[in-house]
Amino acid sequence: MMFRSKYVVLLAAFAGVTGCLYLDGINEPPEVSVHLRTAAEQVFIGERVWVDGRDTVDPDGDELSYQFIIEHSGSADNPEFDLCSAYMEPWEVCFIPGAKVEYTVTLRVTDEHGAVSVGDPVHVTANNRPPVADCRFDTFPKPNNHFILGREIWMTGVDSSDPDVGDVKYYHWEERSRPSNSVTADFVFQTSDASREATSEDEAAVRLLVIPDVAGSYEVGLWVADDPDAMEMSVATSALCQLHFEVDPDEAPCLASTSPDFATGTLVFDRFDVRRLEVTQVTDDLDPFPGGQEGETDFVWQVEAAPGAGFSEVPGYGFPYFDIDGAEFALNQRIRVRVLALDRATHDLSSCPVELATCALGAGCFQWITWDIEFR
Amino acid sequence: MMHSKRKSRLTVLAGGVGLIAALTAACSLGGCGSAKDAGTNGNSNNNNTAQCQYYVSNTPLAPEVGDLVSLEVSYTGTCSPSTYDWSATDPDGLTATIDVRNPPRTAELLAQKPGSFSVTVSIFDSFADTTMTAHGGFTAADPLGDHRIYLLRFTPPGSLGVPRQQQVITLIGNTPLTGQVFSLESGTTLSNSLAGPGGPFAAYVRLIQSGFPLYRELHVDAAGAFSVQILADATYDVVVIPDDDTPAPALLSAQTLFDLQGGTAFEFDAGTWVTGDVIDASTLPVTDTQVGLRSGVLPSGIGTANPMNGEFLLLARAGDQAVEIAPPEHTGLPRVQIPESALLEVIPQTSLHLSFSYAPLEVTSVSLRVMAGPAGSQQPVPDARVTLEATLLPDVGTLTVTRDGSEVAVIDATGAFRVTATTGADGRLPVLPVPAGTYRVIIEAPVDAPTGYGTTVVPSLAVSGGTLAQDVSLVAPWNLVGQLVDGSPTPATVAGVRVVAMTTLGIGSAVETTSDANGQFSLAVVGGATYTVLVMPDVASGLGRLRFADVVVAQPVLTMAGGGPGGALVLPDGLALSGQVTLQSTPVPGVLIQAIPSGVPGEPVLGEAVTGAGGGFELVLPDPGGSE
Repeated sequence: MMFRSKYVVLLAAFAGVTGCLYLDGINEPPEVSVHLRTAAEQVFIGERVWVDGRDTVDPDGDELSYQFIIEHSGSADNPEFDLCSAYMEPWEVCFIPGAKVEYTVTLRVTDEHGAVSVGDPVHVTANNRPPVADCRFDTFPKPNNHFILGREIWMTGVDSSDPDVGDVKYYHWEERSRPSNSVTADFVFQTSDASREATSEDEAAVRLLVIPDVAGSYEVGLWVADDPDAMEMSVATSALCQLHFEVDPDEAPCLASTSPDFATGTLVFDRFDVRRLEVTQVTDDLDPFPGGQEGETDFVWQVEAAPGAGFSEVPGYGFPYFDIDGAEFALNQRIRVRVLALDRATHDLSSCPVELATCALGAGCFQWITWDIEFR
Repeated sequence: MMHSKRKSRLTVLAGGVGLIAALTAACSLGGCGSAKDAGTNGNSNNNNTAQCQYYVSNTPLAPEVGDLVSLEVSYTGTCSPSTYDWSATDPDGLTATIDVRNPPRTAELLAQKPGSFSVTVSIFDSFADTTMTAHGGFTAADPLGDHRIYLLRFTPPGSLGVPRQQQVITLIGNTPLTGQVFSLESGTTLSNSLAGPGGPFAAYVRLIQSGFPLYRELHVDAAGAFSVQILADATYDVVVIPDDDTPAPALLSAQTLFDLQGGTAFEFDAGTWVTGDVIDASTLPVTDTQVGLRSGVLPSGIGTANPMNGEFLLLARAGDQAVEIAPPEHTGLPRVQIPESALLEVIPQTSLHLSFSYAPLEVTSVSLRVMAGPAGSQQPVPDARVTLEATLLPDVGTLTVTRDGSEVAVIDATGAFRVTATTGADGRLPVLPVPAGTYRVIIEAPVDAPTGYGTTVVPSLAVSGGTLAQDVSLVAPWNLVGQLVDGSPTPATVAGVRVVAMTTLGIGSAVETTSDANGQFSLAVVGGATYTVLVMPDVASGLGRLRFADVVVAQPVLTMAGGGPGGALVLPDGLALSGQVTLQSTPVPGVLIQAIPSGVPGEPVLGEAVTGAGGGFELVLPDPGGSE
């Protein structure tokens, strides 16, 4: 149910008119002339609206007092507008609409003899402007918006705006396209962001986490609306921005440097020494060692206690070094120790038979290396 | 701030530095301070050398803790020094590692602690044809007791081909050391070849830089030629172990770059043959037993007892020897180690025969099954790695030493036994022949061990003949717990700190966790095991590390207690160390830098960092009053 609220704005004083005395005793009421004074064709929430009654005249030349009455179709409990803080002449009023409602401004003018005239109502409808959707990557991409598979890709719409001051913005992220071999269950598309401790609900809502599950082309969109019911529906109340990005396959980690050098050949360890096998550098796009900004290589160590016995994984051991106490081994015992470098992706090592000392998916890039050790 | 005006020092060592390994003795023979001590010919009958005297001098004359003291041998009279054998002891009487330089009459010694260092040099004088001894020493001052020395170890990216090297820094008081430039040596290519009586041979070669605990290792192929990057100013001990043990493994001591690259190949004679045999109590040969000798750090070739009569043959270098006998596991016979002794000296041109006879030993057939789970519903555990070990088995046999056909000694031997096997699908180990004794059993849980069960130690398993069939159970890990606070006047808990516990028990036994929001941590550890625990805050925290050695997990929940509220461990404020690593004045990215406290055995790393694109790095070390 709509009812009208009425506000009276007493702005006037008297227009200064130099005095002439008319002796005929018939007082003519003022002739009210009032109009909306605005440069734009439309009026928008949050913007000043001037209503101008300067053309009002009094046939008798009386001093006039002006009274503006602003009514609107919104709630009676809510004024739905603010008066401007600017200086106003008595014959004008300025207000700022606070809602998308119809405002009716009526000017009532009284002359010094009490004659009252009321002008034609000026109807003002505050129009809504749609928000401006602005989305961007919060995770820095490689050139041409390329990312590496496995990387968390954060996006944000925090720069979106609404020209209507005070409008609440609503956000909705949507998948627009992803590779045909992408599996929904494996594709992470998550709009909340508790892990980054967003400081307000808005910030949490405007961020998106995507973790692609396969390489290829992706596109996501962000709808921003100032009406929760109008999401995706109306260009008048919502806007869309899109982000397109390419996801490249993750590169396998490369064991670049070890101590001792794994290419040494059979090492002879002293049975009275504790020797350390150590990875000193792994190159990788996301998970190098020592660690990068996002991740660090994991390691798996395997030991073959005798030639041909087969490798056994050392359970739960993922450090970059492996200490070998010579006292645990027999004179002339030969073992092999293997270290595998693992990043966050799964790489197909089926082309590397286990008997190979090294596994190199690419030239000079070793996913595992093996030390041959003899104890003396 | 008593120390605020004092500067921390950086000592750059051209060729790496002597890592002070050890130990001690007060200055000997009046060698403390800057005094020069004359070394004289030990052969009083040689009149020519009576006039020859050797001295050891040091620079600076009055060193402080943290100084790298240069030592030099000089002489008066008619001398002809040819080799120098340096040794030193620190103020605690422990052996101090001395870095022999090039030329080898010079050396460097890091004054790593306050007090008197003693230096002894044995010089072989070729004119006198005898060995003479010179003594020296100095007293290192640290009046305020606030010097702390660290070694910074630099591991350049492998692609650079630059050898690992280290430098010494001295932190004084609470003054951080920042903005230092650490210049790496690029190294020099050593190219040479190996040759024996039969020509070039393939071998494993280890170059041990004097005073440097890391090795340069390489394998030389059958052509004998090799090339390796080393530091030009350092001296090296070179161990050469031929692939087929012919010639005998060899040690070249205190070699300079000039020695190593002198334009001639490393030429080795064959060594000296040593013969012997290994028989059991029934005088049957213990076939395939491996026999080796060891003289200091130098092993001999390996001899293998043949199936006919148990005889073996090996090549060794001259010198006193230790003996090791390793029979195949299936025999159930223990390994034997006989300490180095003059009785076992290998002398060129002299035959040496070593005959080892095992005593009658009870061998038990041990059948173990590994189980896990709640009592009453335990399940077998496949793929568990089980080790039985006994470190001291008395009277396992005798070694008869015969030299040039004459018996010169009979040595009673103790033994040790260690066997490792993996359980099958039924949780059982293969039947293991094991000599009688008391064993420790280490059961390493497999990757897919039942949840809640971990590596387990059975501290004592009596094995006494016949057969032993027994189930052993994986048990739940025990817990090592603690809480971390900072050292502020109102201590705050510290979250996100890595806590690592390492043990030598089993292979690769280490666990790691991170302190929670309350600064608390809990590590699942093996009951009864001994751990080294490292507490490693992030560099950004500005807090130093803690290290606890020999932490014995003696109860199911072992709380590591410190001096903080409620027994919390207090993380010391760290001292910032930052700088830039350069190579020929160019910043070097990707260099791994590890800070190691000087003089601590086992070399725990107290801080590590990797240089960034501009060669810069920063790390935090415990302050001089910090914990270890």
